[in-house]
Amino acid sequence: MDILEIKDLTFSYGNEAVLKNVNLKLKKGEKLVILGANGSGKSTLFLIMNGVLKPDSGQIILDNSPVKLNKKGLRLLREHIGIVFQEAESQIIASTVFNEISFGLTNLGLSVDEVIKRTEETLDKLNIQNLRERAPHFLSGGEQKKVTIADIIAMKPEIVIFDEPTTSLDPIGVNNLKKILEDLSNESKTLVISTHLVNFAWEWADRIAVLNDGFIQKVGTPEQIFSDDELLYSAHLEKPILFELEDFLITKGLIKRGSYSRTVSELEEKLNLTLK
Amino acid sequence: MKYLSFYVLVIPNLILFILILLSGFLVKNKVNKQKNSLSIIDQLNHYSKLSGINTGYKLLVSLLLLIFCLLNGNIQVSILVIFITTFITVYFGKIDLSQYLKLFIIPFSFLILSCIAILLNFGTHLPTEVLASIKLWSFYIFVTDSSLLNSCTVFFRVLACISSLYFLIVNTPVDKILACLKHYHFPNVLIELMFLIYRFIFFLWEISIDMVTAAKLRFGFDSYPKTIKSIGMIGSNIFIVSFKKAQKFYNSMESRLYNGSLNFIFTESKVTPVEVGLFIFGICYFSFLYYSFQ
Ligand SMILES: Nc1ncnc2c1ncn2[C@@H]1O[C@H](COP(=O)(O)OP(=O)(O)O)[C@@H](O)[C@H]1O
Ligand SMILES: [Mg+2]
Repeated sequence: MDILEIKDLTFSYGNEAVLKNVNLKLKKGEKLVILGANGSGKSTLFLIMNGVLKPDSGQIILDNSPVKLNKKGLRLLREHIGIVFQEAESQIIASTVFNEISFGLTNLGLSVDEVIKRTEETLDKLNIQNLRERAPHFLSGGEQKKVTIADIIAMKPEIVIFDEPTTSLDPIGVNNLKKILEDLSNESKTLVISTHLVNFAWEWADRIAVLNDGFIQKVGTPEQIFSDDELLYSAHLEKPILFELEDFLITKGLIKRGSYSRTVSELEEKLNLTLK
Repeated sequence: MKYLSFYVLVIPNLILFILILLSGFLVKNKVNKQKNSLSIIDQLNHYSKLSGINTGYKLLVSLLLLIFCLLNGNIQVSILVIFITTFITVYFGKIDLSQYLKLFIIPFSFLILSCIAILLNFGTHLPTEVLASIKLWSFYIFVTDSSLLNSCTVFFRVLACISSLYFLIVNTPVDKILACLKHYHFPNVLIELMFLIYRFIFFLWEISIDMVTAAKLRFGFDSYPKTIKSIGMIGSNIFIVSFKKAQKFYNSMESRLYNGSLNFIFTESKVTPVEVGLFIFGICYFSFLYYSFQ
């Protein structure tokens, strides 16, 4: 079932057309990666999906009914879709973590008790109770990311968008992020991540949409996307290392062609089987 | 002999003044090691042990102190206020003294300039009660008793006012203050403005520090002409960068349903009897000071 559909969307900053004709469907509970080089318009697309920017033309269809971009429609969009922004610094607004997380909740118009309850829940969920009274501007990059994620999931949107979440994270931070994403996915939230990191996309995505030159060039499973050499070339993308390695091992006859492995340990298992 | 009491009063104060000045410079040398001195405020007010005290109470105390300092024209009383607020902040709030003093560097530099302006008089004739004078061609620059007294009074009065406000700011996170103002029906627009300005001071400050460092590393401050050029370029850059940043900041607020009213939630502690007692005592004490030093 499609939870959100974007139809014939165009957008330009002044005279510079950034999104020329974007069509995209989000399925409920899926993990979608939007893959595109820097400047391909990923952040812009998200801001439009959230009603922050107004498209020049096109439609956003939420649960099969088109959203009008009036006050009511905007509220509807923002209640259903939450964005974790790329730079934590531009998202953080309050001067304690607790208040930062409650910012969106109070804007939702919830009662004070409900706000406190949900903030506590979120603090527990992300395991950041110890940060609650700290000033978010002085936290480490990884902690800040957690706080900005907490901001959004406290509001319980059905669709959570992460704009290049891995950029400011170290490997431990990325692992923490993956765990959080897995938990969210288990709650059957629909997750969208923008990135230009093909390895991350390969491991994580159910589906990948390639954004290039203002169009969604192709949507498909990671296998479909990364075996399309022409597409990868035109969209300035590389192949994931694991994918290439497995292809190589297959041509050498070391493992049999089957479904590709998404993680190193999966590939290891396959190799172990043949080496036995 | 006529002016003896005046000098007795002024000289210790001058020494204090010089000490503060020196400490300002000493601290200033250290500041460079730390990334920025301004955003310290935002850090300190969370660590302060007094941040838990009822915000309305602190707000009231600080405002009353401020009004008192504005009305009071006595140097010693001003110094007393500076001392008391510093003592409370440092001793009870457990704020590091040197960190606290750093906060005075910026207002200090403005203050000194204005005090010098008050201190010096210009004219073609010297009045009778001159302390010091310099003759430049046909006119004099001179200091009189009253201008010295005036500038000292202004100096300490302003410093006392600043420290009564710092008492509030250093011991209370800013959103608590705003939440409190909101509770007492302060206009929303002003609260929003105050909050955004407060946030953006830090943004601008951090951005400018980074840019200056980056320019220094590329030898942008090697000579006087280069310095002027670099500063000009940084100035215009800061404008663009802060504009972009403001846009991003606002986008993220909008996407979280922000509609022009900031609602932060705080569980305020109750005012304790001890605090009420202190408050009444303070009122009596300062009224006494005010009338006896008129
Ligand atoms: N506020 C803006 N004003 C003008 N042009 C912009 C603005 N934001 C982004 N752009 C331009 O739009 C294009 C897409 O930007 P963006 O959506 O940020 O891409 P991505 O997130 O994929 O890196 C870029 O070419 C960028 O220069
Ligand atoms: Mg981007």
